[in-house]
Amino acid sequence: MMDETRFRAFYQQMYPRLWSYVNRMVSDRAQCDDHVQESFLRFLRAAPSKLADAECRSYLYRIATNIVKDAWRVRQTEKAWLDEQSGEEPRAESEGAIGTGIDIARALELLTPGQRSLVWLAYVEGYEHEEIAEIVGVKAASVRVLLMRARKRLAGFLSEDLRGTQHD
Amino acid sequence: MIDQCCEYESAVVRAARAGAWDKSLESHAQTCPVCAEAIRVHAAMFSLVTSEQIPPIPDPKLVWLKGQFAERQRRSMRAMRISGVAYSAPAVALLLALFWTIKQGRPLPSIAMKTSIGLPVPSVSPEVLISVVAVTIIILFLFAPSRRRSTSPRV
Repeated sequence: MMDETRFRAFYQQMYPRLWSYVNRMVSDRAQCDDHVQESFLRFLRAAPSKLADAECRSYLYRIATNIVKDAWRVRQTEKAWLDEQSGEEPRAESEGAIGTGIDIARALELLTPGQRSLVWLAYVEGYEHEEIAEIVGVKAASVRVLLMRARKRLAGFLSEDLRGTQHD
Repeated sequence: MIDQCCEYESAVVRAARAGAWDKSLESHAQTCPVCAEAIRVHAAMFSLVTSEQIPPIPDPKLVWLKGQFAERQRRSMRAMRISGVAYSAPAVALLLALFWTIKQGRPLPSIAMKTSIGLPVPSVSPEVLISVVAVTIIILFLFAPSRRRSTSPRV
């Protein structure tokens, strides 16, 4: 287990970055706070003490990604069950609701959590494809393709936004 | 929207993040539509990050203490598992010895009693022996240390 001084420094350095990352993935502040705390706690329990700082960061992101993915799966199952119980058709993602005036935060919300994670790790954190593959648990070759799709989708939303703004 | 990948994309994003451009990379980025799109997405993401309101960082003390507590519990559980194995080992050995004796066709207690005190003792049937050993094992199992619950870690 990491010693307290090192953990404190790591926590101070990583909390804002991890919070931003998780906040983009879950879009709910209370849930985001919980996930971030849980990520640090699991990190403390599981991370080997001899990891270098860069490895600690990847490890923490991997833990947070798994927590968010698990929570998302639970929510999807719950949502499907509730829809089934109420006899309603499953609600689709609100992609149709976008149009003019979309900003980057809303555009990100229209991506799947997996795509958001890829875009964030690549374009904000600046991780290489191999590092992203390790964090999200897929092959590096797949990251390349998945990231391309995510970027294309996000760029598409941003173009719509631009067109919308110009029309306004 | 561009439907392909570029091998320089990572390098271009890294250069855009650091603001340090290599001349050849810069000229590539100006002509490559994939890299231009990557730069655009990066710029949009960067503007989002810089404008984001991050709440104050909570004190890490609580997380640290919870981590310590979890670590102590894990050690305690491991110690209890080890002592549980040590506790049940004699019972397992006894059971194996009993099966071996039955397989040999000799009731073990009567032989043991004859050799130690020199008097004949009525032999015990295997069924009785099995029942006695089974009850002993159940009692040992019920009172094994790993089954006792504690409210706080003992390690």
